[in-house]
Amino acid sequence: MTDRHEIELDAALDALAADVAAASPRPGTDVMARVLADAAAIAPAATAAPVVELRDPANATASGFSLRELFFGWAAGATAAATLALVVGISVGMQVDTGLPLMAEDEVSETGLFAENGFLPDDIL
Amino acid sequence: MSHSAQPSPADGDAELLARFAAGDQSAARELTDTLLPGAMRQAWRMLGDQIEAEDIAQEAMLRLWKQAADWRAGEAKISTWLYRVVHNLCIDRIRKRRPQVPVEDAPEPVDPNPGVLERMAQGERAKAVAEAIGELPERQRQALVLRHFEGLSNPDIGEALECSVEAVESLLARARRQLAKRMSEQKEAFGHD
Repeated sequence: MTDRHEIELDAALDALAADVAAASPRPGTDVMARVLADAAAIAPAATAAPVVELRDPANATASGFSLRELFFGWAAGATAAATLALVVGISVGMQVDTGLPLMAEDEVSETGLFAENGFLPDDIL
Repeated sequence: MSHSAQPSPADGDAELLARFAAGDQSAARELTDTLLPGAMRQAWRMLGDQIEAEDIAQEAMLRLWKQAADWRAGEAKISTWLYRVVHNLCIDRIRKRRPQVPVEDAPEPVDPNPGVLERMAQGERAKAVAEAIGELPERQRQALVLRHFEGLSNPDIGEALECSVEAVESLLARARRQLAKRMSEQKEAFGHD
């Protein structure tokens, strides 16, 4: 095939392509609507993934609570309860009665003296 | 060389389909705007009937929606996949038009509707080439139509026709030789637009 034939053929194909493009029907609004209705009918099956509420990372603490929740929300109640339990526990611990008599100051010093000399009174041993 | 349509960007189509599969209805509208005209044009060219072409294009798009969740990006272009679907649906429709012929006796529908191109052609030169295209073997005609009227690249044509790029080049070369020969025989009509 000569160059001239190539050029003539391309020109003829271009002319036909232009005619085809001009004559081809465009999809009407009804067929567009039908296609989109099909898509909408299919879509729910494809949207089975649960909707997840995204948390603003700027307001989240390392533990996952926001500062607002920590001080004013449900977490504040938990924090307060834990603090109260700690205070009560310390108070009770300080008030525990062991039932043993407390040593007088002179007894303490005497015990220390005997201990330093290597012997203790019999009632202590 | 001008084309009646440019293929839509493959990556963009795949991205839109993924968005649709994730529930984005606006992606369905964008895909419809992009793909439906080409599907309908192809069906119309094969069947020569607008109502039937609309039905085929709708059915092809429905298959695309159903395929969306399982679409494997990168394996095939959506536009060429859709071309194959439309082509097969049109072939089925043409076979149903001839119910009086037993299936085993029916010839392969190598020439879905060659007269459509001729009806669309306006000038004598365009009519002559349309007539010559109608006389081409089916595979050569498909390759030529995809190249010149749908604007597909050779690799995309190979994907659509399920053959290698080398085979596409061979089909196109033979088609062009055949057309040039036919048109030189119609020299009287050629060049007198």
